[in-house]
Amino acid sequence: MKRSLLLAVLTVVLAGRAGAQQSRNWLRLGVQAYDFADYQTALPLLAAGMNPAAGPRDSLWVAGLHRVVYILLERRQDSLAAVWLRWGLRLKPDIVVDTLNFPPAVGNAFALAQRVTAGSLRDTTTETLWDWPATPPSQQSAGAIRLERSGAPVSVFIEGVGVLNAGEQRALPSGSYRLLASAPDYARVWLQREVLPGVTTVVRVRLRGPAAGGFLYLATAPWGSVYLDRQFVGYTPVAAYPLAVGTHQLRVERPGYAPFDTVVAVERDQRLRLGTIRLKAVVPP
Amino acid sequence: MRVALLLAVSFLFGLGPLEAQIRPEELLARAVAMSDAGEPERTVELLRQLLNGLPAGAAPPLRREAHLRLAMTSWSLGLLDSAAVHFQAVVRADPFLRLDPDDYNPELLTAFDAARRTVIAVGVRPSLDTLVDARTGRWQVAVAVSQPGQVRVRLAPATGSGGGPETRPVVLAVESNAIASFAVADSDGLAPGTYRLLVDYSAPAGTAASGLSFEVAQATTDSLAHEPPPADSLFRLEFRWGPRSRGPLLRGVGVGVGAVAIPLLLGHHQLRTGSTTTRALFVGATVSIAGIAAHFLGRPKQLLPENIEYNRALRSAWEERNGSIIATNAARRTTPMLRVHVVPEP
Repeated sequence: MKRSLLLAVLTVVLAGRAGAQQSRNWLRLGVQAYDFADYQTALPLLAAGMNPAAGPRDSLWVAGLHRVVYILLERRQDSLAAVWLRWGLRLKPDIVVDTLNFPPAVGNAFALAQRVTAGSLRDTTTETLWDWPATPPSQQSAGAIRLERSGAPVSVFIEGVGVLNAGEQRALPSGSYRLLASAPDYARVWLQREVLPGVTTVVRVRLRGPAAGGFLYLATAPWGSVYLDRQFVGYTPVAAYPLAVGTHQLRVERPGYAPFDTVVAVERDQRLRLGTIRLKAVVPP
Repeated sequence: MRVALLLAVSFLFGLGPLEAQIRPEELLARAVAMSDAGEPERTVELLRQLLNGLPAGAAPPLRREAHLRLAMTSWSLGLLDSAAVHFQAVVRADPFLRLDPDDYNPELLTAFDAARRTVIAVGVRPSLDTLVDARTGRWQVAVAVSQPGQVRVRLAPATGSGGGPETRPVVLAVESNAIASFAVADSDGLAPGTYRLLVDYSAPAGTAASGLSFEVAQATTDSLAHEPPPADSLFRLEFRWGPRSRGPLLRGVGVGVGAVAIPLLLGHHQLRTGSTTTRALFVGATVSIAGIAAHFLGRPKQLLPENIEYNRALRSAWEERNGSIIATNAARRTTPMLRVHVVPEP
């Protein structure tokens, strides 16, 4: 009881200090409250202290993430724990799981989250920031996502939600969301980003533009998956997809149909239009 | 020069650009052709032009199709917000529409589903013209909503139509599609007259309403026409010609030979004259020729029991169907029917 009171007093005192230092202090207080098994006090302090802009992603930060996950698993808020883990692993992919101080459930949650976030390590098209709340957030509160303006007139489609225009902020329940960022004459890109309780996820997208190349237009019947130089680029119809000058291997695939393969040569500023290609159905023997 | 001037003047005074004179269906066909040719920018232009020039009373399917194609093309061009607006217009135009995953790629399906969730729309689709049993029949109406919610469907008599009282609302919790049905029985249902079908939809995100007018009238008995007999071509041959037998030939030739030989061999030679010999030969030849003709022309008939049975079954089935039609018509004459048909909005 005394400890809780002390922590509460410390929280009030520290709340008056500057932002970055304040977050680190919240993290320390959260770890202390966790060590006293006062999870009720610890969770909001730890969540407030995880602000990546407030300090380095050091051992204290990693310890804080472990503790947040453990408390949420204890409270049977597994999905929220998974969101925190995915978020943390996207920020710091090389986290080593502390299997000495935490039960196997935490290790399992880490392994699952690592599998989900593994593909995002090469993601260089977006810069993601977080507007952390000034006071420790409740884990029941909604988060938000905001698209910041970048060079191209990007719009983002959030799967299951709708379109988000540049500058727009959308309140969302905490979770992982798939985002499709697109702009005319730019290569579209699918991303996955987390929305944490009470935190605004700010996404800045830098799409790959038409630098010294041409554009591909492609339609097929029926629709298919398009691969350029063995990289999946989307589904048909494809319009104004930027391509570097030179030759490229193009493949369209669809289950039940013979793949369509060809080589396309693109010149500078050329708009290469391949009219509707009829995919041939494969007749089962 | 004069012709050019005339053309310029006619253009300025109301004929307008060429595409403004094109029928909307043709403009849509051009847009589709452009899309097939890999010209999405031109497709968008044509579809926008089509939608801007579409009169208010234009066929809803045409408007829906134009919005849907515009949404798809805008999406492929990376104009996600524009695509979302047109997908929403599609949902408003036809809340029943579901995109087939075979025809639309996963991104378009996802975008369409997201548009459904952002729009509050309700659609109602009755059978346009139907007959229902006035005693036990129910008139069914399909309802579609864009988001899960509650739908209240009720029938109210149109003003001055002389219809019956307003029905109790049918309240449905609808996920996406549902069927509402109304009793048309005389005591608890619809008296002949004009009615409004009123649909009120409420979802957590908002409310919407829809409706249509329809007329209920006593229907004259609509009897079924009798079925014509089966065509001759459906019947099979009931017999076939058998092989030629030598019996008639031998008999005919034998009798002919006999007709010649008997008078010549057995007749008194003093009574025989050239005339009698000739007659005997003539009779014999005639009989022989008759025998030969009987051989070639008189083939025996062989009955085909299987085909006879088949033809009998064919006739029986036809008679049975006609019997059923007669019974149905008799039943219909004793069943009061109501005709329910949708009428244009006043």
